[in-house]
Amino acid sequence: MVPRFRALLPYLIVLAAAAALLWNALHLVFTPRGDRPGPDVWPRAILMLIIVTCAVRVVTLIRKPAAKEQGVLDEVIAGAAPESDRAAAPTRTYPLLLVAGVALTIAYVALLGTLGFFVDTVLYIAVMIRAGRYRRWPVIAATALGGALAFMFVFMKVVYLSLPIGAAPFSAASLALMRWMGIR
Amino acid sequence: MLDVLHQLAGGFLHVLAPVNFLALVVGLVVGMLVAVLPGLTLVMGVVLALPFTYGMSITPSIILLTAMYVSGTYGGAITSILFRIPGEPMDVPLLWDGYAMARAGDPAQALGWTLFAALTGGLITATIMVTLAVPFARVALTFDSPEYFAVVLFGFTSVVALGGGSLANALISLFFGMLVSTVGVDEIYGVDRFTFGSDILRDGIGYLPVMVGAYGLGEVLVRLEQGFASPPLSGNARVATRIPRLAEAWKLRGTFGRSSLVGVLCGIVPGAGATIASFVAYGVEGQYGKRRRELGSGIAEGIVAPQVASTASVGGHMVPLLTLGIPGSGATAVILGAFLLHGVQPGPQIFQTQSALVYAIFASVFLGVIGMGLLGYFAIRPLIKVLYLPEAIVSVFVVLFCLIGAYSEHNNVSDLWMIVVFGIVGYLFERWRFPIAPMVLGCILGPVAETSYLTTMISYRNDWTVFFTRPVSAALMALTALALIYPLYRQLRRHRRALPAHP
Repeated sequence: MVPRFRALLPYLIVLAAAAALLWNALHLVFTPRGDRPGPDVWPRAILMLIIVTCAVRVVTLIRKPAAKEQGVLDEVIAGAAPESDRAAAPTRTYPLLLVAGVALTIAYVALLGTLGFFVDTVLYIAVMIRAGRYRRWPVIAATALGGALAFMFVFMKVVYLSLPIGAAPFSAASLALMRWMGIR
Repeated sequence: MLDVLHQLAGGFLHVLAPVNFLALVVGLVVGMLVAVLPGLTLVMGVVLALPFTYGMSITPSIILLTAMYVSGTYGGAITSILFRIPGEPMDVPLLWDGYAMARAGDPAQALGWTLFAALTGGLITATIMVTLAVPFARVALTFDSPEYFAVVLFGFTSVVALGGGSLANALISLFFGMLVSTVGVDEIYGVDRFTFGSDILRDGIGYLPVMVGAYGLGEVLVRLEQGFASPPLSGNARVATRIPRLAEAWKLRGTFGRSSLVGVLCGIVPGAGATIASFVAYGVEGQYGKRRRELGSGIAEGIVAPQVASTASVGGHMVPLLTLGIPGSGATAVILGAFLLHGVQPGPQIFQTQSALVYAIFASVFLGVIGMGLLGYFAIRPLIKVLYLPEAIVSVFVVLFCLIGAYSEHNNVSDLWMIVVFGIVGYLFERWRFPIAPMVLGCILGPVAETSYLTTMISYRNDWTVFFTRPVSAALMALTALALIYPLYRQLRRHRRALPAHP
């Protein structure tokens, strides 16, 4: 039961989201112009297609839970590959690393305005590399500092991009570095 | 024809201008590095380079991305042959004969055959691209909105039909991309669509955050979940390249011819990219090659066929991109994005309005192929040094390039949130086996499809039969139907075969 639900889950999520958006599209307020198609026609058509495709897939998976569809590319690969190469080795996964990666990236974006580009990037590089199971701290520290400085130099000095300097007291560090690099 | 040659000569001069030539060289080097680096794909590399083109004029921008695309089809072959690590899916067939030849003690010969094949495939495809583009553009000039809608629809369906995995998943991915492109204020009525009162959504969702998020951050998240477990380097690390003699290559002329044809054809059909070309060419060699029974044992034909086809697909892809504005692959979708960012819509008109640019692109493919050959021959030793970079370090820089790249378009932090959202969407797509390419194409070409559909409805008074009564659009609609029916037919046939026979 659980594997079947797991297989159905993405389609059920998409189906529910599409139904909600279709409701939204059906209630768009606009003034019709003659017999011209309105702004709702195109999104409605797309949402109907999503709903129909998901519904067909859900029914197929309920009727044949083990049904695995092969695309043209899969068939071409299977046809060309020697026998020994057809079975793919199972890959070990680390869900906590994924959660950490997403959380760190969200934190990086959220703190960019407060910490400023330099401090935020140094921290992000260091913690993210460590989260990626790399353990040599001197290399991590050098990469984080060097990488953040290089990004700052290239994007602020060469490309003239205005990267966030952050709020006090972090802005002081950004401004000092900018003066040191000759960035105005 | 003389006019074409004359303009092509002008294109060569244009590419040799310092800025354009620098873009070409940088594109070749970066494209090859990206193909060699673990955890970085060719499309991801082209996506990451896109933000650097904002400040450039259009010609060096397109030259840079095209050069990356050309050399990216070769770089992964080196790691396949030497270390049994395919840089790209298209390089997998090279494991079977390329790595086998290297393991048998002749890695220099294997690398030489790959380089010669990439060079030959590239030059053949560049020639065919120049020959086909002008007639294609002439035909396309006669197109009206129904034909454009039919062309886009055919592009969509073939990308969906020729991918891997479930047809339903590919369709959902495509529709999702098309839906994303409708978010924001409608251009004709000025009505908010799916904005939910958010100012960020009122501006619409650009294809750049979608592409960068899904291909860049999404792929890094997938690799992170696997613990950045790149396979350890093993195999023959002695690096040298021995180019085959012309007499040896001449013996394989059938393989070169067949595989070039497969590559160009797979390139022209949207969706059938370098990966399909590479595998189909290997399969064709297995069917029709003189030494078909020896395939997989480390013979030159097994190296030449996939490499010629994957490089030959590049020129094939550029034809519909430049003449119709239809990208047939992830990389060409990014190149189309670069055109649009610079305010140029590829299509038949650019052969008249921007012919210098078009021929500079053509010339850059020729020079790019030659440069790729030189780079592959002389710089292979330093190139493979990047394989020793830890994947965790490479990946964090990829994410930062994604974020800064998206930020630099509007200097707006809200674009970063879009990257994060589409990075998670990209990860979920990978996890649930929804292909990303249809979503990206849907996002880029969705507005084109909507505009051409609405223009047709307005021009032909809501008569939808016009799509089936005009010859070109009717033919394209028939091809579209075929592209959708064919996978269903295959599925049905497979299902029937799987049924137990009656006693």
